Amino acid sequence: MKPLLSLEGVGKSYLRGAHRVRVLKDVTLEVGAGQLVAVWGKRGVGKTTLLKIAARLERPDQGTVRFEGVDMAKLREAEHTRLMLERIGWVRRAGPKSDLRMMDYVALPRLAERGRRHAYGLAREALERVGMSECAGQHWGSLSDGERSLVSIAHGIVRAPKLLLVDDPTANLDVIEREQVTQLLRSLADDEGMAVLITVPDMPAVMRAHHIASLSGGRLSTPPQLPEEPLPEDEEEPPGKVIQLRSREQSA
Amino acid sequence: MSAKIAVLGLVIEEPSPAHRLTAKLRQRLSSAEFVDSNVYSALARLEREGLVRAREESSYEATEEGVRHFEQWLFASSSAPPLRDELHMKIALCQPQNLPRMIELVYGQELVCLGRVQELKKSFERIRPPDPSRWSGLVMVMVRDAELAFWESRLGWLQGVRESLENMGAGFQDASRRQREA
Amino acid sequence: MKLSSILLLYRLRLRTRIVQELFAVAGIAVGVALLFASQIASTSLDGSVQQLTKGIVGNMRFQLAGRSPDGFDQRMLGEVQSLPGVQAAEPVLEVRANVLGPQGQRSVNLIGTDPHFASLAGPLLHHFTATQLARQQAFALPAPIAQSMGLLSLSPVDLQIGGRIVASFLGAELLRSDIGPLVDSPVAIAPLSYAQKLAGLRGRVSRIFVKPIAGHDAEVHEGLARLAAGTLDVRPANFDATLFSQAAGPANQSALLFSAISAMVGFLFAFNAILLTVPQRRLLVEDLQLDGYPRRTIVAVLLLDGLILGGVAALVGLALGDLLSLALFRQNPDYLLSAFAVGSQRIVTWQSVALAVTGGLLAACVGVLAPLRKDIFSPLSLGHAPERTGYGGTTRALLGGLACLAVTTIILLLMPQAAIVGILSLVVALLLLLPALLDGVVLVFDRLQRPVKGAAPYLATLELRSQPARARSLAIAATGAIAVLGSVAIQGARANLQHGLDNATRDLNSIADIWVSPADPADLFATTPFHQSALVALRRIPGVQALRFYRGGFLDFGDRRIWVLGPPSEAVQPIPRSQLVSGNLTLATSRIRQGGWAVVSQSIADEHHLRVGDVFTLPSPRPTTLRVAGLSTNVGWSPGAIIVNAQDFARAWGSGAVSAYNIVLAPGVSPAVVSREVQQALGPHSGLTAETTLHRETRHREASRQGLERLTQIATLVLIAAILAMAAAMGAMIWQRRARLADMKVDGFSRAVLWRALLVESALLLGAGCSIGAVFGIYGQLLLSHALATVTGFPVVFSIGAFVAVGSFVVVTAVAVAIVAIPGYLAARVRPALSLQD
Repeated sequence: MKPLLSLEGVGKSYLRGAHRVRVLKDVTLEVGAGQLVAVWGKRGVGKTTLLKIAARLERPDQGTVRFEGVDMAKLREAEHTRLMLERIGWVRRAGPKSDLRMMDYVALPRLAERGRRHAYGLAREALERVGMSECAGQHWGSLSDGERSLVSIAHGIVRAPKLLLVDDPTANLDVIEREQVTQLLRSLADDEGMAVLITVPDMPAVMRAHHIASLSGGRLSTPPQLPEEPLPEDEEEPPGKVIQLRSREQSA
Repeated sequence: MSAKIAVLGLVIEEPSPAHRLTAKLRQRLSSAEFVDSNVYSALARLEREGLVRAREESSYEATEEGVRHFEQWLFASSSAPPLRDELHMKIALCQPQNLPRMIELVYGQELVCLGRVQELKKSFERIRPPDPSRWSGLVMVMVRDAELAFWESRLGWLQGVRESLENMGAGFQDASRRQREA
Repeated sequence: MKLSSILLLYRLRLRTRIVQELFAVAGIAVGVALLFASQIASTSLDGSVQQLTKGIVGNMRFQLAGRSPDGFDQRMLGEVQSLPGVQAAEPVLEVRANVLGPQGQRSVNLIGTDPHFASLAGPLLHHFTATQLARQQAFALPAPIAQSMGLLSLSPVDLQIGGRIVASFLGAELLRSDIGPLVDSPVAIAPLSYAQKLAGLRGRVSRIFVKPIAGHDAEVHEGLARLAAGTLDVRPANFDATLFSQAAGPANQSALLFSAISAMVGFLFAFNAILLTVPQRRLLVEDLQLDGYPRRTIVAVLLLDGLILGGVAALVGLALGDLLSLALFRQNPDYLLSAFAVGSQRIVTWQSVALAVTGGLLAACVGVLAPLRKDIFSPLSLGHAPERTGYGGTTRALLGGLACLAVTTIILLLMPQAAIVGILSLVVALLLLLPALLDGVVLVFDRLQRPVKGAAPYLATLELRSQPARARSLAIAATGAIAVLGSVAIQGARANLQHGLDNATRDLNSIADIWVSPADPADLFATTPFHQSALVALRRIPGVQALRFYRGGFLDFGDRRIWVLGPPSEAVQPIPRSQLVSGNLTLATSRIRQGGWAVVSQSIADEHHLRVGDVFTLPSPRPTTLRVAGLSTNVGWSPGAIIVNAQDFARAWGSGAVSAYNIVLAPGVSPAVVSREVQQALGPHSGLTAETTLHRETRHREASRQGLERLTQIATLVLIAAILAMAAAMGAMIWQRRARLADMKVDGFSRAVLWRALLVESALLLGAGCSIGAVFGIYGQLLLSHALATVTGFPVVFSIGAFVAVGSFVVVTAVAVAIVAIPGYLAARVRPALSLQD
């Protein structure tokens, strides 16, 4: 089966001050449907660039990016825009730029279709899915970092995307919040069949991923393949079970 | 850290038979690489010192002396971990002409670290996802994070070393090319 | 995206920016209001004459019009009626009458017509058939006019017609329900025979309106021309409206120009306000773009913003404009009343409303979309490149600005008739050159302030050079610049025109020491004929050296209702010296005295291709051939004037009636004293009034000032709007900067330094904008004055209105900075802690 998203031989360099920095060298990466792939790397190694290139928010210097087998570079502007609206969920950690209630913000991508009621219904579902129903009436400024992360994911998944791209979803989160968010992303892959690509600067956040990789010096490294071991019998349940997300009251 | 004190802690937590203790230890402190025989010899020593005693059904429980001993250990300040690494020494002693080989070596170590993270992940996946809002789950996650922190910092260090070596290598190549041209 | 969703997005955002939005509404509303009020003023002027004409004419097609105020023989009616193809003909006598009521007097057009024909005429006369008035010896007045003079129906009233006062009877008041909007027109209606009796013109009529049988137009026209035999005019029935719009043309044109400039200032005000909401809109655009919305959705969202803003603002603007036109632009120019019956009705056409609303909507949409065009059309990517300049490429702007200046110069030199285009290109040039000029001013200031101690000037220049605030700074400076440009150009041109008109007035009146003319205030130019009386008594008054006859009147010459002046040959200076533009004054004067020669306004001469020495025929009641002795300005009457001597005038009109006595006094005699004696000698019932030259000149000056007053009013409004706009925008800009000010406080700048820096910045920005506007304004003044002089032939005295320019610049800058000082002071008091928050 073809992977949903594939990067082949992607290279990218930037002018940083006087000299050119190659942030990506010959990077190859595949993300299939139902897979959560985490790219770990220190700050400033080009993780965000990698994600932007995956969404064609930036163009690579070399290499090709394919989404559903189609070369992203060959898409027309309008086609790409449509892709972003309907099939690729780009999770914006910075939240809405304009001053919207979270309900309105999450509903925004679906307003294109059938109007308000429909969009708000979907937004409510998405907020419920991430356990943030209580935040519907809030504004971005009044949310905690954990809540922001979850609402951003709701805004990403409200369009029921094939591919979800998340840049540093666990920034500034405490251990409990971090586990919640990573578990949520995992269950999106397992239960909804989304392809999820995340970039993280801290190791614990990769623990729920199906596959991990590390980015450094422009090189994307994957761990050596080990033979799959069968699950030991003494384990009670398979992984990927949806965990009950905390409500705001409990966390308070 | 000895297996003795770990086994004592587990027994205080819950009186258990030896095989349960083995499983628990493997789960709780997987990276310390204890083997099953460690548990048995530890139990023997603890019993000899009067810190644990055997109950019925070959289950062990802690004595008062044992609890006191454990708390003494728990609240004593921990010593700094020893830092002695072969790779440190190699880097300290290597020469410019060894650079490409060194880079390979470092990258190999990086992959090893990554592999360990992967393993940790796999072992973690085998068990039910811990609920971090419950005490036992939180402890499990925190201990796992401690190991991850080790691998993460080592991986970060290795990457830094490799990038520096690569940049230096590029610099040497430039310099020698210039020398040849001159 | 569905409209409901777009509306939802609008509503969601409205909460957070309602204040800025109201600001923008106010700005656009001001622009719409000024545009609308000027439009109402000019359409009312034209429209009231059109309405009156239509009210009299109805569906008549032609008129046979007499050329003299005495009209022509009524028996012509029979001949007209017997022409083949004539369906109906309506005789009308039109005389100017001054109604003397117990509470004031009013100059009206007394219209006498035959009730038998009234049913065929327009709505004004239509009603006439039904009233009992038809058989009575009485006249009717529109009710508001009667009431304003305290007149009651069925009461006796005196009328002053020509040089006589006659007793009459107000038989009826015409109500709005009878005659509609004409109720505001200055007319009086009487049966033809009674009107003839009142005017002392038995058996005479002024016009005969004719309605041909369908399809017989050409035939009837031919027949009428034959009957006219060169002494009467055959014209379309509604020709008066054409004549009027020609006469009121310059007034309307200046109003149009001013509307355009005031609208531009209003819209810049709005643009300033809209810029406040640009960041918020830009963020929404980014949100939508990142969510993958296509361009058309984003444009639709923004367009709706603009349409709602423009729509609300247009409504407010229309209401405001309506008030403005009631409060300020009500008065019609008096000078036009002497030749036309101008009503006081306010006429609002759908075109005016449409123009104002379209302007408002357009301004709002452009204001909303233009600043975001880069955001809309940039391809989807994260992180926008910082905007470079507010106006795009600097070099291109400079070249464009210079090109526009060149266009203005070409218009100034080669085709002054396109003055409005010239002013517009001057404004565009200003806008394009402003960024560079402003940079220059800041640079110069920066150089100058270097040796000065203190951080304030340095901080101010730093702020003015910062890129993010540039669009806003430029918009503020542009508002001031355009307002000052407009007001300097128009005020300067007005001053030049006023100066020229004053010269003409002085020269025209100085031919006598005392003028005796009909007491009708509408008879501003001494154009109403009367029959000589009391001459012996007047000549006997001690100190009177000579009593001469002055004649004058209006005459329809081509499409113009021109003013014909007939000063006495003996006058020291029959030709107003300052008004001769071509020809030798001494020679022309002697030729005028000699007779058979005329001084013709340049505009008339141009139309008829006449040069000095050429022969032409004056289409007077007795067509008279004259030679051109010289060319003059229009002597203050926009359609133009012709000067002949009084004898030639009498010959051409076939009447010895005069329109004024010119009394020349012996040296050393006080005109004021003699004027009182003259008035006594005339008696209370003569209908004539004596006034000294000084008094008459003052009255004329007042009339011309009043005619130009609207220009001053609009100029003042524009300046006030500009001051408010700049102060508000500057204040808002400073207020939004508080976080940065707090940072500077943390850096150790004191409140006083920050306040001073803000004041210096405001003064520099506003001062630079206004002074640049003033310089361009002087150029505009030159252009307008030149256009007035060459196109309409108005007397214009060129002078650089430096005083007006400097005055406008100083006042606008000072007031705006003074207003800004308050938010500046409050902003400078910001707590340093604000910088540490968030």
